[in-house]
Amino acid sequence: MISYQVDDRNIGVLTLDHPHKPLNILSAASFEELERLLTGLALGGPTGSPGQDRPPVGLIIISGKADNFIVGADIKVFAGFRTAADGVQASRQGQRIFGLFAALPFPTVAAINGTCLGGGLELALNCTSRLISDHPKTALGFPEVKLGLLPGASGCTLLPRLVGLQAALDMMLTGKNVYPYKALKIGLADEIVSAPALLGAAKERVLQLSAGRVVIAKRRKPLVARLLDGPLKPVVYRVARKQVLKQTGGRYPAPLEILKVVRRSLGRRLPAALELEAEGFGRLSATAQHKALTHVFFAGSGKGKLPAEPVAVSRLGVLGAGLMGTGIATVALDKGITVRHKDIDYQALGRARGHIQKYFQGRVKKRILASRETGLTLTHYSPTTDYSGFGRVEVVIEAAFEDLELKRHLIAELEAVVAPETVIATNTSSLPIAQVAAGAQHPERIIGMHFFSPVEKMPLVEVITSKATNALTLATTVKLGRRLGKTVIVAQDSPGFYINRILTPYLNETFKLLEDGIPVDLLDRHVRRMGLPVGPCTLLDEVGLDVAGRVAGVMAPFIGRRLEMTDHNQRFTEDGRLGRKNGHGFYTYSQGKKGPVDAAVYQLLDHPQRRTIPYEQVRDRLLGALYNEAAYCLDEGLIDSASAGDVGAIYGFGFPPFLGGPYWAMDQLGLPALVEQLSRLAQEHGSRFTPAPPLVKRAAAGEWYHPVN
Amino acid sequence: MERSPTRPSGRIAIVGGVRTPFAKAFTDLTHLDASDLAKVVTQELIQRLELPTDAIDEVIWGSVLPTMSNLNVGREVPIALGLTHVVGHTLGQQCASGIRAVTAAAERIMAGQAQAVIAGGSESMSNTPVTYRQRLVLALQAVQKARSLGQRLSALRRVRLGDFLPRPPAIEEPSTGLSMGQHTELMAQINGISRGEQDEYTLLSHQNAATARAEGRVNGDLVPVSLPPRHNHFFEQDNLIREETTLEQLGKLRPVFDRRHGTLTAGNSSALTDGAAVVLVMGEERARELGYQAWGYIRAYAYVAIPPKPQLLLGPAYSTPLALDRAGLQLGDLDLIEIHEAFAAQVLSVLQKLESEQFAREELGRSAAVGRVDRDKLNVNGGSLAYGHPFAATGGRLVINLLQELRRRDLQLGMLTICTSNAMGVSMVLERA
Repeated sequence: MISYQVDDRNIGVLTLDHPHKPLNILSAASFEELERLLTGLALGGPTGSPGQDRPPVGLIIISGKADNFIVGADIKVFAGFRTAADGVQASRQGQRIFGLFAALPFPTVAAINGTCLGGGLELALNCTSRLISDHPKTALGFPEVKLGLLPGASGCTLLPRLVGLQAALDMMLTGKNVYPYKALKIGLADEIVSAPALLGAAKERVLQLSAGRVVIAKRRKPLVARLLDGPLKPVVYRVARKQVLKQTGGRYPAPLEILKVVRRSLGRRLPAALELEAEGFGRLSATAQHKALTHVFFAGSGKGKLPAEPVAVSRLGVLGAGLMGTGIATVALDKGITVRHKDIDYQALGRARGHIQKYFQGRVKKRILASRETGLTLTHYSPTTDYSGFGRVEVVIEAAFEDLELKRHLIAELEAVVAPETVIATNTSSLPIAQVAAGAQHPERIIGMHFFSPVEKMPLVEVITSKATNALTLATTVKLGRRLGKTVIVAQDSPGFYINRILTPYLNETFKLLEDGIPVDLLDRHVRRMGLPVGPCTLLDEVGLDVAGRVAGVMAPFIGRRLEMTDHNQRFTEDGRLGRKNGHGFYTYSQGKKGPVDAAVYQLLDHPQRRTIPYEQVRDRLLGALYNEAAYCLDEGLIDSASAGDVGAIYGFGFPPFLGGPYWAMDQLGLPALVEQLSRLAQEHGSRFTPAPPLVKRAAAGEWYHPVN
Repeated sequence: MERSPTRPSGRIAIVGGVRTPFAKAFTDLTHLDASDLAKVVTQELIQRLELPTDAIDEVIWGSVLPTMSNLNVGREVPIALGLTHVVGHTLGQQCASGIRAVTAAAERIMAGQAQAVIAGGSESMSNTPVTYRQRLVLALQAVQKARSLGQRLSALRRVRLGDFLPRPPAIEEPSTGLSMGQHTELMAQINGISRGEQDEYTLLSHQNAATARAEGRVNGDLVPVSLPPRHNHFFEQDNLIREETTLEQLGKLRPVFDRRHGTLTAGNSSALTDGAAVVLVMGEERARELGYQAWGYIRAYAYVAIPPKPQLLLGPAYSTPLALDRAGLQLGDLDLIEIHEAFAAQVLSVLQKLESEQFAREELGRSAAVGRVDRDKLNVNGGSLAYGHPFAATGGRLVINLLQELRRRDLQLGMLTICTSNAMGVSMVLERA
């Protein structure tokens, strides 16, 4: 992966280029390669160019890839660690090898074009200077926290020393990427140059550095930054810790560990600081959270094989300029797809176009896009009130109101105008695709796409095939979903598909808990403590109780009896409580802002009196209901793997990522223990908790959902 | 893209077209420039015609007042739409620019150099380039070159305060120094066209346009445009048409070009306007190959140039008989006629000359007058007085309107004609089948 050459001016150029993969990933082998090469260079010895005995004037590290520098270390290795000691050792090794760069007797320059993450950035931090290109893919970051780790190959130690405490914590605690302009601003990069000029500029810099000329002007940091790095340091830690606790509920050890390591190591001499970092890395690498998050990362990276060669989408038709249709149009535009957007009048389309404008202005404001690029992107938005243009789209996504007759009618209209091979995807959360496609001339090109709201933010698309859907349609749709930046899971055409299927018992149990007397706000608080982003009552308010009621209506004939389903959704809807959208739900709303619980909701219950229910019971009942249903889902083949089910639950409705998804979490609990727990719940609270036969069978056989855990 | 030149054997087809609603300058479309408008109409044209993008060979764009940031709209458009393989150029021939784009497209196709050309024109009178007096420009240049404060000050000494006032582009004839309005005043005087006649003609234009809109004869060809900065509202309708105007109201307007003796008012002159129009031009056979039912075909056209003085805008009186000759037709054979209305007095002057035997004899060298234009066939959906006149977009509007109206009425032959500053005129005969 690494090649070394010396040019005619005696500048050493180390090129990273994985021969068989599109991305440069640091494997154990590449670390060894680096070590061999750097040790040789340090000794002025064999350099890879025979007969070259004198050391180079300086060294440039550059990638041979067009759009990435190094995207990180091979994280599969970490997931294999059994004990903290394994992690400490790996961390020390990484620190030592990257430290070889810093120890070279001549200047080193990292010339970064494209993505530079994790270990890649740590390598760059050990160089004398960092030049970055203005390539649109150029981004620097430490995503370790997202995997429950810290940058353990010297990153946690070196970053705050280079960019200051606040900027460093911001990067490491959120895992967010830093783009060129900001990288320069915080001092992470010394210069931005155009991509083709990168190597030349890096060579210039090497020559200047080796001539002893100071070319990296130490910019005086602004007063605020100096204060934050100095006397106000304790405040920074306190605020950061508070924020972390607020965002994670203390369920994620990594950000807290990062804070601890930085607080204890910053200001110490390097070897001691690095040792603290290694210990922290070791501790994190042994946590269940790290293993679960790594599982989710791989399960969600979704590069699964497609059943056919997909059609590339250059023109997309979108039907409906409501919330969903507009969101879909927005992400499609963002990915460079031309969108023909139809609705009945230009008033609706105006709202859609305004929303799209706002979205892209936000991107410009954050400097992710230049306004010029945005202008070009937006020329690809084409509103219409008739079906003209639909004859040339590769895919239509129909995002009209969830009404079977309406959708059938629209599909009939579409089939009259689109090409025979055009894929027609219907965006629905619960309508059976076979029914939507019934009566279609070509049911084989009809498929379901369940987007989640807001489409721009929610990372999941549930693709639903009916029995008639053909492989080409499925492949094209999955490919499109991935192109839109979404994780795609494929679910079978069964009531509620996968996501709403497992949500149904969870929301049903919510009403049972309310009937048992728990106050709305306490219930939501308990659920947030479990690690979900919002409680179920808030979720129902956001989704809309009418929408949830419609889904429940689809589910009731199917699994209602087994779940002892309540009709509370209907009661609430009939009471005029639709949730946030009409300002009446579990909570009160004024001017769009959520207020306190509306005490009147308790009058809609059979038992209005309130009492406390302990956290453990809430957790066990809600998750137990969900797990039990998940067991049915996999057994019925609704999803093709437990991993897909894990990812779907996490990205679809915020199942806690640190639990690794329902199936991963069940494995962690132990299936026999879960069966026992469910049986107890069934005795205490009702037959709906009766353990699912497939779960019982699996537990009895000693099987896991994820073998080799 | 390399294509071996093959000259098509058939006619030149107009496959379809669209335009933006036209807006009085500094109203709805103020914040969009000629290039923005061009992109909107071209995207819609491609979508509406469901045109395969690899079938497009060229874009030819008309533009009368280009801005420094959009010197070649013809190429900006395909780049913005992702058609990076499409060659584009921009041309100017004053108010004939839009039609010149269409005939240039036709000629590219006839020469075997292209098979499908997008021909359009757009103008944003709200975004005309503003210039400074040359004295100021020279002084600033000298300041930049100056090496000392003294030199700098002395460079600035010659500048007058008034030089700092920006100069909007004058719509005046460079060779005569007279504005279009002043020239037309002159024509009205020479040809004896009264204020009353002009106002009556103007009223008819508005009434025809209002009726056409009310009966839905215009809307289908419009592309609504989302408006900056928030883009949450679409501009959907021409905003210059005055349904309610009366002769009395028009009569109250004061003359603007010759305040004392003049007859031209803001009412009976076309307004400064923003807008864009575009059509798709193809060889007849190619269009059929791609499955299109063309709107119509170019039968013949003629450009003429005349002396700027005394009747600058009389070009159509010369180009019309020439185009008819080339088409092998008489004026009476035409089913519909579109005369661009720069000013009511200009249209009435042209009509007068076409009817005049003396004009035919002395100016055209013909024994008989070209003929009388039947008013029932003339600008039946109103003209530029009602819609406005975004210079380079007017040609496209006339083509679209003429062909669509021929179709609606199931008629065959139509002619359009445009006068231009610089003393030129163009007439084009279109046929439906």
